[in-house]
Amino acid sequence: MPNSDIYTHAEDCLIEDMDGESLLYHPGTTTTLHLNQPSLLVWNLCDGERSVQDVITTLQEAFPDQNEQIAEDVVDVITELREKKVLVKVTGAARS
Amino acid sequence: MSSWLIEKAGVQITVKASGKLAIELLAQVLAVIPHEEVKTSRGVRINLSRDEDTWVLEDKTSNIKRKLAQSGDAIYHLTDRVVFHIADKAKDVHCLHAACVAYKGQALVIPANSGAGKSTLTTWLVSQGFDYLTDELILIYPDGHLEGLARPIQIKHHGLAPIQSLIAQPELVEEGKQVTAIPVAALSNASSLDAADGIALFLFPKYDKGSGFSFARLSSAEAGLRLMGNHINARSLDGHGFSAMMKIMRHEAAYSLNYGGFADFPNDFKQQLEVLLSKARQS
Repeated sequence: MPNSDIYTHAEDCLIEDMDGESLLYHPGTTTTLHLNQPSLLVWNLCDGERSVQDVITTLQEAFPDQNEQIAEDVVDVITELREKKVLVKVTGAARS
Repeated sequence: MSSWLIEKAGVQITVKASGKLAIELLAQVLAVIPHEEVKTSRGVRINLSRDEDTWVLEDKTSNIKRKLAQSGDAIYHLTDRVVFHIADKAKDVHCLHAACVAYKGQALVIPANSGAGKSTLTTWLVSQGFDYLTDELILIYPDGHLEGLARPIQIKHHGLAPIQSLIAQPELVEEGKQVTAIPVAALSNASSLDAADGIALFLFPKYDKGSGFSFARLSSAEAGLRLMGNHINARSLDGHGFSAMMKIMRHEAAYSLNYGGFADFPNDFKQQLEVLLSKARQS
């Protein structure tokens, strides 16, 4: 996954706070995902404007003691959320 | 020929039975499901008849016909069609693939996929004095009350051994290749309800012979995740019913139950459940 890629939320996804944990529902696939706190942060940062590198940099600045692990974790989370179809890649046409 | 109308969540299903044996079997199926005898069909049409030694089940609305050798399977497929049509056509209610019993009008909801042991557990709960609502389908209305489809409890073969001792009137049981259908009347001290005032507790079971007993509180997120897997008409609802179901899950307690047989249950397990249901009722 190139770090220049930009991801955004799939259309119509719903998220609910369940006593501090998060459940994300994708109506298109009727899939429900349990997001832990790190995954929720990544989800929230994938706003259609930030690149993968921007997400990594933002989290590294917020959690400097976990610098090394963050890059790998962000890519893992985005990969998983993309496979579950709750994150979609913003194409060149959509960006402009 | 006799025709009976079942109506749930605005869905009308007319079931016709032709011949004495079919009428008797249908009467058994509908024993604790609200219904009325009608002269003309309304809504979905399902026919049950007997052709020599074979049951013939026809879902006229879906153009499905089945021939079944054993009465337990006729009951299974007949009620399966009823469940399908209710879930397919119900408006503004949440349909859950779940069993349900009640204690003093408050529901213990047991969502689980087929084979997880919810019908076996339901049989035990009913034999302990909880009121039977359903072993398959519950409907949750916007005002919070719920209804069940109180069909005969249907037990797959691997779940039969644990509940054999709970059957007080085995002559009422209908055997089949796929399931054994156990009318509530076959269980001692059994009672049934069509509706409960509200949900007090969720229980997510898993029966695994020889596995032992565990009963653990779930977080609302864990419970919500499991519940959505059993929400069978999500696509028909605004927002797929997700927010509404999560609102319920934030409010009601949920537990997982793993068990290998009823002998694994603590002696006071029934009382534990009653206390949990009573606490929820008071809150």
